[in-house]
Amino acid sequence: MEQEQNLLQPPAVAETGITQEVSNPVDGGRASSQREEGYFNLLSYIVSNAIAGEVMAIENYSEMVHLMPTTEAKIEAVYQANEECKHILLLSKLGTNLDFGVARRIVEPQWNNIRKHFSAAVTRKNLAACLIIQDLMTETMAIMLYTTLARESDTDAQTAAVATNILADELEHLEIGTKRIQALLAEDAEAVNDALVWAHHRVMPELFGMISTSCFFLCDELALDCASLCLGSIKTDIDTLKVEALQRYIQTLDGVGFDPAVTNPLIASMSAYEGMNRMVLGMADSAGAACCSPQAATDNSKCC
Amino acid sequence: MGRSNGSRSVLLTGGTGYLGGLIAATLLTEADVDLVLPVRRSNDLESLLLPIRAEIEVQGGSFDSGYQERIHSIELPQFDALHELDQAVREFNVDEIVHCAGCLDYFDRSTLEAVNVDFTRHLLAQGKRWGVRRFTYISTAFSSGYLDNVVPEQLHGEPAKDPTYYTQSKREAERLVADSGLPFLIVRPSIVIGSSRDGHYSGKQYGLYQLWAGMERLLCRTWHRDIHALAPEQPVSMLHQDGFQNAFLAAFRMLPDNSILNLVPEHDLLPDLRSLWELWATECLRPQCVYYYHKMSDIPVRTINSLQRALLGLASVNLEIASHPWRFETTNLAWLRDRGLEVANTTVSSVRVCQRRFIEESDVIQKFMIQNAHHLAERIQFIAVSHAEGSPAAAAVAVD
Repeated sequence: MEQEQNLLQPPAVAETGITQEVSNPVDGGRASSQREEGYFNLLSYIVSNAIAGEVMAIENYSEMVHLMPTTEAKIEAVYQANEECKHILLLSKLGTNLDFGVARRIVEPQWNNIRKHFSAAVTRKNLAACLIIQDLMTETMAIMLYTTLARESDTDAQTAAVATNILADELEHLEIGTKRIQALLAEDAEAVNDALVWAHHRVMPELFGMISTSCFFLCDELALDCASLCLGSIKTDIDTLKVEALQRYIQTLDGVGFDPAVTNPLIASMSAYEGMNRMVLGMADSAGAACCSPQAATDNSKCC
Repeated sequence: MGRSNGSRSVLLTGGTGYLGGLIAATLLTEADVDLVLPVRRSNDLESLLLPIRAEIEVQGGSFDSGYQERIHSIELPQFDALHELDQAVREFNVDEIVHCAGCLDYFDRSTLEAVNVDFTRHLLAQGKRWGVRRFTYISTAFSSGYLDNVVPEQLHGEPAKDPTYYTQSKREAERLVADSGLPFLIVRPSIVIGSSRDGHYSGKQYGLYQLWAGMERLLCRTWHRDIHALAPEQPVSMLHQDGFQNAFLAAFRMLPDNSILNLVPEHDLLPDLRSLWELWATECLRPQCVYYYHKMSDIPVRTINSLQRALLGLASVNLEIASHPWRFETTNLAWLRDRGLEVANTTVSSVRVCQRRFIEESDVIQKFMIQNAHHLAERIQFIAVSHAEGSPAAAAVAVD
């Protein structure tokens, strides 16, 4: 229990060794936001997952440093890792200010799965795959998330301010990654395309699996009722988020300059997990509905 | 038809899926057999029967207790432990297998291999042990891969290119069936769509329904002035589900052992991809302009609306398959027609029936059409864009 309580406490800045000052929250805390309890429960869930993504990003950027070809690029990757640390502090502080619990470690297994794939790419010294996983795929999803939270009319002033702050960094990370991958594409397009295909089939199902209010363990960790979480609290829904994520991912791929002949089959493969395969007449699948397991949902839809 | 005499049973795999459910409903209502349905987990019988019951009732039948007593649900063991079905096979006097279970996820190679190939291999081995008199395999019309010539009603060699791992796995399974030593029937339906009578459809969103669902989900959020569509003038081989049921039953009853049936509708009446887009544009989206492209590579994907770009990406594999000039040998189908088989033709009008049902049942589309009533164009301009031919050709169509 003691450990659980610790997890839900925001870190003291001194503990992390990061001296960057956390943005000043808008005065007033939860009371000034005039939002219902369900909204803060949802924020608790979303922010905790976002922190897990930031934890993963720190580890990814740190692990990627030695693959970087120049000293400048290594320093830049370290700087990016540092920025992800700042994001954790900002998000934790948001939880304190608005009085909702946050988990400051990776809880959901998808993040660990992505880490595992990333590490596999590092082991193979496949810089393109590393950049694609972290700078394109993960950052694109982060941008979608923080863009959603940055809409003050749908969230609240403090959350929107923090999200806007982080969003600017993530956009910059995407831009840096885009340029790095474009440079690699110019050197060896075939190798980068192979890296994209490899990374896509491993990482995108995991990322899209997290666009959900069903979880494996996070709600237990936060003492929340999964079923009570409602995205209507921030004026959106799962399908809208998935569509936005899909759009952003495709824009990212097109923006890098990948050949549509390479990317179209990858996008088509997403129909299996990004929401295109729902039943028309609600005829029950033999294995029943998925509960708290996006992977189970995917598995159950494969056979007829 | 009520209760059978219980003299023999068909072991039907995939009976909880779409085509399996159609086959189950057909065999229950039209054939004097019991059904043994192995399902992956133990389910309550009611949920198992739901799609079969719905299919029978929607066709005007009554799902009475006689039908229910003829369905025997058993738990499907691991694929390499199908001998655990021995007792059920004996108890229910199984003398025939209809193998309809399959993985349809084009991109999940390991599951395609496990379900479509390995499961088939194990089931064939057990079928031989059990001494069944025939093994019927539900394949796909596209198992040949891309061929330049007519797809024969024979086993296929290796093509230069496959649309997906799915077609490759179905072709491999066909070979296993044919080489098993068991008498066999291979049925290869093309894209199955809703009923020609009332448009009802109980399958997942594959094939044409993937495209419609994608348009519902991505293009019915806001009104689009222009639509960019991959739409070659290529007939799309789609089969109404009632045609599938009739033809399956006829083949099951009448075709001699070791037959292969390309189950496709009359080619000359088929709608082409362009007319399918036109149908959707006129009855739902009502843009001002639809740009038709002959090839995916002709579409300026980086500059078009991102939702349309997403749709083209998601549907790209099926659109590529539909863009291929498929032609099929239909000798066996003609033979069955000569003996009274009726298969509903698939035409623009019959697809419209299905599409209208889809649109009527969609709250999203209904809301879109109401909210955007002031945008919906009364006349739509259809422009064929061809990089090779230079300037686009345009035609305007009134939609009201």
